[in-house]
Amino acid sequence: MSGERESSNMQNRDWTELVEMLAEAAAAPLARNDLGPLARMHTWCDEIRRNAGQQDQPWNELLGALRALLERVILGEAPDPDSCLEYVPAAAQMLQTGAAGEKIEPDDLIARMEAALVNMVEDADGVGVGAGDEPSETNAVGTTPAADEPVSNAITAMTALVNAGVSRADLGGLAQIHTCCEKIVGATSAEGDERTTGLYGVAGALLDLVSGLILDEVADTRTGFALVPRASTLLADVHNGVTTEVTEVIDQVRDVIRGAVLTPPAESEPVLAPPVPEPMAATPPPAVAPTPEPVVSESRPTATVEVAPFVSQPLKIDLDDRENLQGFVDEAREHLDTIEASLLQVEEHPTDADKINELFRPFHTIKGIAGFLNLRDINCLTHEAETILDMGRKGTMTITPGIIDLIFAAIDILKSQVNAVAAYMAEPTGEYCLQPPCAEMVVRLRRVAAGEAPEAGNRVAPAAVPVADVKAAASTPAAQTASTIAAPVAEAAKAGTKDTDQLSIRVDTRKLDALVDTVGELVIAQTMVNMNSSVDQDETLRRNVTQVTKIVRDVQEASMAMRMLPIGGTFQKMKRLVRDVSRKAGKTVELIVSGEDTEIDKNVIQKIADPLVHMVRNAVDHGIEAPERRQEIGKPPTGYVYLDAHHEGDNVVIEIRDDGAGLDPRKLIAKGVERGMIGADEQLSDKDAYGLIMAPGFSTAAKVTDISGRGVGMDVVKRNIEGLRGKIDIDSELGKGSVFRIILPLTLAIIDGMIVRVGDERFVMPTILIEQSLRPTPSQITTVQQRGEMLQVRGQLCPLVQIGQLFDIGPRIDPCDALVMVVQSGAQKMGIVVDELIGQQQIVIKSLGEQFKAINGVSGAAILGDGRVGLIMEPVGVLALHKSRRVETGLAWVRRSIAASEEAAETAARELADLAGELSEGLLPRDKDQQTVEPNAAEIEATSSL
Amino acid sequence: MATVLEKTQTRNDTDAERAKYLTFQLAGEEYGIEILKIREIIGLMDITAVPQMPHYVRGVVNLRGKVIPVVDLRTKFGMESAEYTEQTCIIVVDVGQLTGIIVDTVQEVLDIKSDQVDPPPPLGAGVDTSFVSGMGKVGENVKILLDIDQVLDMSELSAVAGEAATDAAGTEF
Repeated sequence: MSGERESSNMQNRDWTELVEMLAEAAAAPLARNDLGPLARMHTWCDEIRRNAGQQDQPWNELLGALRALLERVILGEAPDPDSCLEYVPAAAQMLQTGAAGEKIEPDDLIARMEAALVNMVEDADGVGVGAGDEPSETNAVGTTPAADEPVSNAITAMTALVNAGVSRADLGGLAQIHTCCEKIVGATSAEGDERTTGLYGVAGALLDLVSGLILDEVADTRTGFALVPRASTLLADVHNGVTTEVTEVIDQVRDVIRGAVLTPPAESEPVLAPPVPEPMAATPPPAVAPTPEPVVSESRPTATVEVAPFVSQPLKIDLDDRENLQGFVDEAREHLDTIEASLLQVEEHPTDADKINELFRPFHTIKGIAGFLNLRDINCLTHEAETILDMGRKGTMTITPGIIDLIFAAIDILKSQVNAVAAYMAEPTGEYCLQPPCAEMVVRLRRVAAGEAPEAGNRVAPAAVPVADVKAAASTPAAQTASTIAAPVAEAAKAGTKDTDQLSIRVDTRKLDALVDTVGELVIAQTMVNMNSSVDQDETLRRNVTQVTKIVRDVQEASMAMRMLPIGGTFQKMKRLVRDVSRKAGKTVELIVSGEDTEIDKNVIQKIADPLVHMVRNAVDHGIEAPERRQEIGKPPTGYVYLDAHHEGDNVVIEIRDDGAGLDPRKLIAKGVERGMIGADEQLSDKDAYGLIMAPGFSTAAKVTDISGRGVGMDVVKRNIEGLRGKIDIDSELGKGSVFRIILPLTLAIIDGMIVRVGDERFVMPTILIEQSLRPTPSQITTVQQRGEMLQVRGQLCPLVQIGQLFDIGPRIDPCDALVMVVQSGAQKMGIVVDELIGQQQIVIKSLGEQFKAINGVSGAAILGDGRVGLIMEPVGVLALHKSRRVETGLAWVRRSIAASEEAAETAARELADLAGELSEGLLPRDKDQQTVEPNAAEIEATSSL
Repeated sequence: MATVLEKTQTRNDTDAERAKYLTFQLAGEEYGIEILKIREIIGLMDITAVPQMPHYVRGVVNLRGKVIPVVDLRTKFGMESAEYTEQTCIIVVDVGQLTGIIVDTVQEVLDIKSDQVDPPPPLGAGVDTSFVSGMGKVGENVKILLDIDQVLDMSELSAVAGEAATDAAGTEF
């Protein structure tokens, strides 16, 4: 802040004064995390250069070098910022000397600074020796030989850090220890005298341990943390020549890194906490322990590769952390989807390091956050998978199909683990979160990482691998991981938000729904204003209202767009599905996806996933022929399934196309007849025949395999899609393949609707369903047996529906005096007779609630311009209702005839009785006659009630 | 309104002995509904008829953007239906979902102690007492306390509509 304010006055300030300030600032301790002073110094450098005019060449060069160095450090581009900063005081002081008019020789220092920036710094000579008069503290520690200086510095710094205490919470401290270790490792080597190799070994082990601790990859953190001060002390001892015995500690550190649970080192360390209970030991898990038997996954067969066992511990979820956890669940699911996608790519290009790298990243992110949130199982599982991938990436392991399968299996477990966390958050039952068991998988992954063939699974014992090799192999991944992470802390902490921060934010869907609802209200209110008659009378008002209308529409579109997601994620899942199904079916099928970016309402995406799974599975399972068959008929052995999404007007079309056998309409019809769904003599178009596969009942018993058998659950698919106000269209060519087109509205919440009046009521018909509206001439109307009215439109006959009568709200309307809307209802067209078309309007769809769910012909309600509720017509239901009514009308006619015949019978009986009475008194008692008639009547009644 | 009711709710929860009831009239008889169930009282408004519903479901109304069903309690109880007047009200109750009930007049909110409430007397065949939770004696008067969830048990409704649906579906082919 103050720096900024100063800079405005700076123009007038003497540059020498600035140099003084610079030197003063540089003399104070500098830290790369404290950007304020660095930024100020950088600004001063600029100012000085601008105001100083022509100074001598070396001085200018030094100023430039200092400025560049500061800039790189500020931007985080310096390879080792701390050592870079060590040059700053020297440079500033030299500048000051130069400014005072003395001769300076900065070349050496400049070279050093430049070297530091390209990480070529040779620490051998210590820091900033050139000028000899720097106030640098680091130089003061100079009791050991020059070559040891960085080492002793680092060890001193580390000892100080360790004495201050290390804990999981203090990631900064850990990171600094990490840096110290790096320095020591950098300054020593694996070759040389015992002291050097000892330092190198211990520091290397400690480096791995610390990075493991930072990333929460160390299973037994207590022992891990206890080992840090131990190793640190040992380093100091070795450095001071007190001891050379390092192997014990190194081994212990390595063991901890590998995940083994150790007994504490013999000598009692003050920090050392009691060890985590041995898994096999008696301590029983809590009664509600999620994994029923936290025993090491299995008793290892004799000859399998020996790896550290894994024990899943009861997972206690801190519900206060709900937000983070929810974020994790959402993100993990996304990442798992990404992983699946990348894994499929890796499967195709198993040696492509880039592809493996892509796969590696989401694993790493999940691992990081899971560790952060103490989700140990997930953390370990991802870690082990990552280890294998890392080896693949480095080329130390070939990614075989077996490994891919194993990782797929691991992903499945991860998914269920993530789901378990989500379920627990939704409904916390018991003290611990129930976790699907993963110990076996972790151990399997560890074995594979240690060199066991993945196919060996956990049963078959492969040739034994020498234990030493395994040890080495097991420890390398950790080492590799450690060396690949430049800024582990930052990554672990930021991984959660990094990707999403820049491009998107997460919003609770309920908030979005609330927004959409409110915007819906706004649209309704706006419509009410529009309909107010005073708007037309006032020109200014009208203009303003028009303006508001436009804005409201924009707001509405924007709020709708917020709910839109690309369908790619759903498509991605299909790839995995195709892979699995085709394998199971022994076919080679390739899924080709296009239009992944097509955006659809989130609700629609969720609901379309299941039907899509069904249809894609059907396409692979039943559509595509077996490879041999394909070759027989001259097709390439690999079958193709195409999945495409695109917009068509206000609809989204999802297309599932295959190049398989196609549907045989004749067989479908034959089966329809066999199932009694159609009459034997009924003439069906091919399209109608395809439609049969979506009829309920056609599928359930579809064991007959001579038909492509696509019926499995297609009625459910159809129902789901109709539930989304969408429709499905099938096209097929025998022997060439089939196309299933799902046509969906863009959103579930708002539709364009035509408001129509029927009697006193108003209804809404979704505009997309209306083919045309017309006032028919009497010649276009045909009645069938006085019962069914038919309308002839463009040479097609379609039933006319008296919606008023159907909904019991009005009398029959003469279609020739009114209007007929021709609408599409499923595969059929029909005409709906209405009194009047009122107009088209954007309709916010309101649910009618549970109790009205089963109503036929009405899909929901809308609030109309005047605030009243209008029902939204649903053509398929209307037609079904119409047909049932027609049957009812038929029944009524039968009833009427029965009633007439009853009446006739009664009259006849009465007449008979009269006659009988006339003929002979008492011979034929009257009621006996009645009795003979009555059973008949009862019979008739029985029939009529059918 | 809602917040006031919520406050009442919390107070009532701690005092089980005493409950507040909203009383209203229906064809001269006095009824009460526990106030916890009641969301608000609105005047009569335009009702949109919904087809295939039992006759006592008058239809749906727009309650500030929400579409809620409205039941005519007179019809539901098999009473003679009456002309709607100025006094006719819709009481919006929360029975899992908001539902309006049409009553003749809304009277008052009464405190009725549990010892003032008798179990519903057996009224003989023909009178369904399953949705009467008790008879509240307030001074000289007796209020019929309704178990409104039972009254508006919508599973019955769905069943009716469901039947219509199966009818329709069954005859499709």
